[in-house]
Amino acid sequence: MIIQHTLMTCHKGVDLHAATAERVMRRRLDGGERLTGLARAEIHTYWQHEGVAAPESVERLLTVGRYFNPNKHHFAHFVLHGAGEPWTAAPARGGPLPGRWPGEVADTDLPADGGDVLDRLLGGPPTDGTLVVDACAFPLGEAAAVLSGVLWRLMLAPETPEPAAVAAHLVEAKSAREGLLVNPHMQGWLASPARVLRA
Amino acid sequence: MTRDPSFDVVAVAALDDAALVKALRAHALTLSASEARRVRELLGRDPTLTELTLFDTMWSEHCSYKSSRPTLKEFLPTTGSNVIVGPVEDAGIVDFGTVDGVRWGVIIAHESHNHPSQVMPVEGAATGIGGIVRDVYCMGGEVIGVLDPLRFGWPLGEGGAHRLDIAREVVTGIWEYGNALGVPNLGGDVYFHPSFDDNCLVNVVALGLVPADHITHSAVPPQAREETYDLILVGKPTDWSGMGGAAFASATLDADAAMENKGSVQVPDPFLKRVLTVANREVLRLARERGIVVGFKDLGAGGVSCVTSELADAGGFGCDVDLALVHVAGDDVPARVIACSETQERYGLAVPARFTAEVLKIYNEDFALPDLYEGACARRIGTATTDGIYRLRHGDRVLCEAPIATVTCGIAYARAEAPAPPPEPAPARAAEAPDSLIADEWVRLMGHLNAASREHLFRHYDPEVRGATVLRPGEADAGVVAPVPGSVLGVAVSVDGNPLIGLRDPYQAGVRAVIEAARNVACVGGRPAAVTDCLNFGNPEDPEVFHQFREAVRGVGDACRGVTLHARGGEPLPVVSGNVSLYNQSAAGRTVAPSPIIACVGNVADVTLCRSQRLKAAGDRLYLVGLPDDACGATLARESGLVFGRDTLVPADLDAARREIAAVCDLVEAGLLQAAHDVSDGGLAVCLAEMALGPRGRDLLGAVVAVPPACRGLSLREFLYGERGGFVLEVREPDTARVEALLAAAGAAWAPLGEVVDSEALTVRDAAGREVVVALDELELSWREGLTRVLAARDLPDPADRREPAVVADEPAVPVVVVGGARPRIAVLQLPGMNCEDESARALAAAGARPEIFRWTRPAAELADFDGYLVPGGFSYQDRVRAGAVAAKDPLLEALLAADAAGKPILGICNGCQVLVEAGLVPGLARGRVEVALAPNRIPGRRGYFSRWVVLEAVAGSRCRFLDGLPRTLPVPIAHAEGRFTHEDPAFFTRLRAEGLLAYRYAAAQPDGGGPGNPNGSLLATAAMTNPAGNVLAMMPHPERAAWLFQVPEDLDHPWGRRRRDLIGDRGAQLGPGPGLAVLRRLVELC
Repeated sequence: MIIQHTLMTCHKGVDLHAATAERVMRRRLDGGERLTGLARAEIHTYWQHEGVAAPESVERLLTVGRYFNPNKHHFAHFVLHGAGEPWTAAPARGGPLPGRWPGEVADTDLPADGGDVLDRLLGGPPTDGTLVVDACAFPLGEAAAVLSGVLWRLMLAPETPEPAAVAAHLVEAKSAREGLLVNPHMQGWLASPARVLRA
Repeated sequence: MTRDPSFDVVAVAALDDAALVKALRAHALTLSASEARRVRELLGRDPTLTELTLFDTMWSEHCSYKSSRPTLKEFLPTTGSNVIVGPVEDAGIVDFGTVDGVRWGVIIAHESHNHPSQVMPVEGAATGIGGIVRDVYCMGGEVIGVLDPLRFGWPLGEGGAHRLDIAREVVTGIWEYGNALGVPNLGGDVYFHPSFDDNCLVNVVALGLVPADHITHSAVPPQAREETYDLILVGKPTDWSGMGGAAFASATLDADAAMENKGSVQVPDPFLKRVLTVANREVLRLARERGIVVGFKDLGAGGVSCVTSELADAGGFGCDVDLALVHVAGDDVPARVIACSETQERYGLAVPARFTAEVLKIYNEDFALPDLYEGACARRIGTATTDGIYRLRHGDRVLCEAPIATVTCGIAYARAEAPAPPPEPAPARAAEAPDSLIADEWVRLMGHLNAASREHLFRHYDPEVRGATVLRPGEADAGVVAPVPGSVLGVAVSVDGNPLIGLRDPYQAGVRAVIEAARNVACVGGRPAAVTDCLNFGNPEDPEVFHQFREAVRGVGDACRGVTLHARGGEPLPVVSGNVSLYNQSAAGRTVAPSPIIACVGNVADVTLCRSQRLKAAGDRLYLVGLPDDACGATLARESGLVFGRDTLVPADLDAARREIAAVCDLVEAGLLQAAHDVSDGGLAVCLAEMALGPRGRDLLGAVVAVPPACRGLSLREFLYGERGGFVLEVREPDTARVEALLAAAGAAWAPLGEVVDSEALTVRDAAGREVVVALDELELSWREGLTRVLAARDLPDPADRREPAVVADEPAVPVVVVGGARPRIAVLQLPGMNCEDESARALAAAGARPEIFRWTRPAAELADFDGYLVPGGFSYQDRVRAGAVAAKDPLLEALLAADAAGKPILGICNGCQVLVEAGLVPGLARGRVEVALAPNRIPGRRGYFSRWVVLEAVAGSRCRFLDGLPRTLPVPIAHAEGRFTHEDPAFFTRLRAEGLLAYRYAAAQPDGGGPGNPNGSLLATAAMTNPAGNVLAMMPHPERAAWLFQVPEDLDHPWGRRRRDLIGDRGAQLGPGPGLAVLRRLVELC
């Protein structure tokens, strides 16, 4: 069985990358008016066959301080059993994220006061019917043990028609007015279905 | 918001010592009970928690020098006829010279960020750079270089992986910050030693330049007695980051508290720093234009409270500061955190109230800080007062009210000092192994972690941004810049400090650090002008450690008086700034090797005479200046396990060192040296090998060396591995008589050493007929891969660190001729975070244009009035989301799409190239469509930023109109982390080539793009791209950094490298056009 570990870090304060991207998407992209919010987490993920030790570089990922500045980040370490093949094996443009991804929480600095850790990491679940699409972007052709990428959470107005298509339009950079978050010539990306989250 | 305890009064008088300490620690304060009682005594009442927090910072070792100040005053010379500002402000300033009637000063500052880098290597090292450059900027200057002396734990064996991570990540922090800010990295040094296992040392040096009449001071000016002066805070919103940082840096490092300590490490932001730097420049320019005197100081330790109190007190004023006016991140920042947090990227200004509105407009509107960074802005937070009271309040609630001198007066301790242990009698000379083993030993020595090439590290740094670099890391013993455009005056700078000597004899460590740093700058013709010191030691409360500290400082002082400013009548070399870092000691008691680290700056009279250390020509003669002896203690060779000589250190001969340094300076200035290299770590063996191998490029030359008669009592090992110190000089045969006469006149100890030969071997012979021959390829493999194989990712050798295939260039280096005529108006786009606009504009002007830097806050429609466009390098919008992605959506790029449609020429360089790709200006099969990508570099064994010179080759059949009339090959530097032209379907690039849309490729790469000549993994080794009309050129390399001949490395394997060598000393040629100017000239011609 393949196990996918994902270390996810999020800014405690304002994430300038997300804030800038949100502003640019709203102001400059067709369909940007549908975007009500954008959150971001950096992800560092690797796949491990059960019973096989992870490389030392992976072990150190969780012990060296680079990703854990408590001034700056919250973090969560997720484990997904039965994850399937690594994303790099069959990169897709907008294909579906694995079911149950990112999996169970193995460790986090977030207080254990209930609620979905992924949602809390990304600033809390939006209310009032906002539609959410998660899109994971990662580099194509990466050969390192750890795959580093970005999870973008797009929040769309509740009445948005065909939200998955709108999200795809906003994600994949094609022209000045179309897409920002992923350059498909160097990045693959996987997305969740559009859904409404419950607090 | 929860209740804010900042206003609480702490009952110091009522608590016994134990209870008091417990109360202090509960608030993460490190003051001792006696110090807290001293605070109470000074205030005449129990202090508030905010006051205790303030004193906790101000009385930390880091801020107050409470253990070290008397020692520094006792031993160090700090004055001199060339000193403009001594060690009384954030940085020292010494005379640089006068150019066109303007007197310039060189600013130098030196700091440590040891503790933060141990617990958060990336951010600790980054904020080290961030802090030290602020010290230069707040003197009113521009940063012209940074250097990084680094000390890491031993990376092999148990626990080595963690120490290796620290080393890698410190380097990452340095390049991520320095490169983004746009400051060239001019050098540094790196040692690995077990004494640094628990405490790495990350020292940082910043060099700046300022016209003497533009110097700003960290003081409220006297004019504040005549009119009201406001205190302005500009930069990041204040948050918790770095809270308690100064106190943390002044305490023993406890690995068990690593997680808590990470909270004391600041959060860096070079992007915001870059924008602030440009905005500060505008504020200071406007102030000068109006004749307004301002006070200017950066925020470091102690944050708002420190900057306001020190600004006011330095001018003889008090001040009234309202923390409620300070911009903060979030609404849960307690008042004491607002007062004392070390949030990065902030400055404090004292300006006349009548000027305040204009200052705020520059920051908040012209440079749009609030748009670029959530919460960042400039605000008025207080006023200078004449009552001498430091009043800190939050609205109406007072947190601190005391005579200002009480706050800033500091504290001092007379530490106990253990007597020095009696010196051991010099041991007998060791019995050596057979000489037949020396060749193999030599090869192994070159691969020792403390001797091996540092290229894998320094290729991560950008050495050439600003376009003024003459000698880069790896090329010579010192970095050299020519910071005033059009002038041959230069600054040489180097750092030194040897932990092996520190462990043996701290006094000698201080002495030798000064001498070797001065030797380094002398090798390139820099006359030592000043030094700074960073004194890294353990716990000063330990009498033995404090003795080490005092001995080292005594050594630094003696050496400064011994080396002297020889061009100025024997004055001591002044120590104009510095830093003391104590408590570099783990909770387990392990103390770092006593590490006095010295940075020396030298004045270079003529940069066109500066030479690389590499051997130049067969037949040249070699000389040894400074003769070795049999005292071989604390040498690298002994450290590596070799047995030879006497295991002792002999005192350095300061008079001899002074004579040798003076002589070498004279020889360089007379144009008599082909190369010079100092003999230091690894002795003559390493020195000769480094001269033979040098930076990659031309074919290797060897040498045949004979043990001079004066050294005939020495064994070959003592001769080769001894570290008595000195120089090896390469001299053309016709110049030998003049050189020998000059050396003799200087009274230097010297001897003929041998000859440069056209053979790939080093040969050493003695009078007894013994001979050592070692092949250069064996030395090279060991030297180039010694460190790389440890540091490189995935344990793969780094192909970029090996010799590369030769570039066959069959065309002469013909400088572009700039003809007169109409000077087209070209816009140099300044998007926030770009950092190459100044040198790009300068090069464009030289190419015949009227360049104008076009700030992003101007209306985009105004771009239509220009004839052509240059999008320069840097990190636009911090490369948020992806390099160039956000800038590509900027309205200015829509204007460029329109200009492209009108056929106007557009040149994008590096980040500008990334922007043009993301905006769909290239390849432009469908204008405005994103058709390719510039992805992170991907070559085996290396990630991240990569800088080096490359040779470009024009792609046959290219439509690019920029290439018309240009030579087929073009040598230029690259400096990028995301320069890999790519597409999900590699065949797409074959199509682009067929359609003539590729402009340049990396010439040394194989035709399919593979091999070590491809520096970033680009498909088809693509370096530059054009559009169907050929009016757009998007190139990753930097032609503006090759616009003048002096910028070209003289060891470059290209006709332009040969031209640079052949015209050494020819001022007109060296300050004349370089290869890159032709590209800029084509932009002008296409307008």
